[in-house]
Amino acid sequence: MSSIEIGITGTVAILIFLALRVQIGIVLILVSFVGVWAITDLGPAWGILRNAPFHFVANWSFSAVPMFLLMGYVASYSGLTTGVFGVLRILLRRLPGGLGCAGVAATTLLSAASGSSIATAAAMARISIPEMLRANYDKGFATGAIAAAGGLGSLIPPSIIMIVYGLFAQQSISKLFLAGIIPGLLSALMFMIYIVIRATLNPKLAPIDPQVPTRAELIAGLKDTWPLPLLVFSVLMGIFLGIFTPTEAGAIGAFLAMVIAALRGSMSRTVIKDALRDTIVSTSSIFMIAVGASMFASFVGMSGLSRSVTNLMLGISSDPLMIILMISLLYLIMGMFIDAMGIMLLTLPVLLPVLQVANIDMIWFGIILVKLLEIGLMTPPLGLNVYVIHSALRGQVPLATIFRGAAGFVGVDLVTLGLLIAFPIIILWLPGIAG
Amino acid sequence: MLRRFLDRVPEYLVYLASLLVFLMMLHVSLDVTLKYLFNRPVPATVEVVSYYYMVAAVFLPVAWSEKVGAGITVDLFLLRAPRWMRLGAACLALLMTAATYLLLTVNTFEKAVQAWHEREIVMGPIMLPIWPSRFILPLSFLIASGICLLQLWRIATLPAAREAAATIAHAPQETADVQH
Repeated sequence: MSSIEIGITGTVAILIFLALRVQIGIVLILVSFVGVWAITDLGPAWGILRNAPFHFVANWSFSAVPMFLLMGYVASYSGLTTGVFGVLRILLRRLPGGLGCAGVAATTLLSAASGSSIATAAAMARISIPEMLRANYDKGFATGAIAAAGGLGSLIPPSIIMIVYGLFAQQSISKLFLAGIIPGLLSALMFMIYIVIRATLNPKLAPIDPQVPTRAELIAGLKDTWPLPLLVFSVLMGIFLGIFTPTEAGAIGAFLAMVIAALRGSMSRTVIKDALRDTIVSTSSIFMIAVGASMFASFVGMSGLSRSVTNLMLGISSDPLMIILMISLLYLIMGMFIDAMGIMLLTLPVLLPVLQVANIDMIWFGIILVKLLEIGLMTPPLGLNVYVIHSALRGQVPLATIFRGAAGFVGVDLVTLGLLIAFPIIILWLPGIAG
Repeated sequence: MLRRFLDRVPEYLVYLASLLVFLMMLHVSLDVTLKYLFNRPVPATVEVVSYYYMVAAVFLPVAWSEKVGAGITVDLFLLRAPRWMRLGAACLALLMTAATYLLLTVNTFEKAVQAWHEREIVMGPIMLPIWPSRFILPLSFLIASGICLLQLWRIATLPAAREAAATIAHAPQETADVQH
């Protein structure tokens, strides 16, 4: 077999093993090991196994991942995020579909405290959906809105996916974070416009919030919630002004979240224990995939597969727009079956060379990629946000209903994606003025 | 004896990793505070975080993830498959996972021993020995492979374990695989 045939066989083997429910990280490590062995010799294959895991993980930049995860978990488990929805619900009461808009807006704010879409969706589902259902919202509409908004967790900084992307694609993490802000806010705005339009056309879908709040409630709510926006703002500004590295910002953010929670009296040993446990379990599973992906990148490079894919794609068209459309299609299809981190790490080793040759801005592509992965979180059969909301609501709303409700929001997201592709300035303006 | 060890130890490793991540947060926060207030950063923070905390946070929980099945899998294709196929796939996955962890154990152990003999250090503001942290890998991988093999043995001997292995949870666990 030639190297390239080994490369193709390896890739097919990966897909087959994935379908047989072997973990993504394990599949990537094992297939890459056998593949490198087949192309070269046992020596280099041993060498990769021996060195890759330690050298890949022992990296200062990656240490931002557990810190931001910890900050998000502490903020959400200690109830720092609960009040936000209450306040926004009062502020947005007069809008048609106000409760839904409040859900989206609260999720957007929470996204700025959390680096992970799924964690964001799970936390907001528990806070906002029961309220919408109590107001007689259509079940699919209510759950779909939060499934969609949860995706903002990885588009609005901090973002775990962006950190990992930045390191694989060798792009500045703080520029990626900056680049995600406007597209994140735009996405949220589009969701809210969609909710308002649907609620206006069909008021039964999203009835008026029956609860009439008092001024005192609003003030009490604001008192309870102000620390979170302040925390998020200072952490992000610290990164953008170059005062903190992302790791430092994450660590300080997690620490301050604990202090704020302790001052509010909502800190307990269980909160710390659960937040730490979820942080390390997530960190571990993300990096086992990433270690596998780094080995897969060596394998793909050695086999010459990335070169042939590059030639193949450029053979079809060398127009960057066509390439982006082809890649978008690929991600939308893969997003139906594989989880976000897995898709990104599986495809980047093959696609990065294509993007470089086609001269595509890698910051811009990073944001498009995150947007595509986010859409994948809502598309059946494997839309993780939908599953997470389903289980956060203890099965109250059937999966199919949530998927149906999310479909409209997928449509909205595709429009937003089109805008981002058509007007790159939406993404590149902020990182541009920051230099 | 071995079985009881394998049942308990992943939990302890998770506690240890949790503690280290907590320390990492304090360590980095302290470093930043001292750096900006007194211009006296904690020496070698970058090195300790990279070579110790990160390595521990990523590899120590591996065995626990195996035990509770927190690893990320693509469940769709087998969801409606017949029972024998789901059971067979579960066994294949466990075998492959155990084999991969064993391969990693052997290789990272050799590397750790080599680093130990060379007294591997990393140059920074201070010379930090990093060879001890290399032993975290073979230790974690060995226990993880033990967990997989124990699981396989249980599938072979206990009908209840067989039943569990043939079942695919309909929705992902709320806590265990919540992440991106």
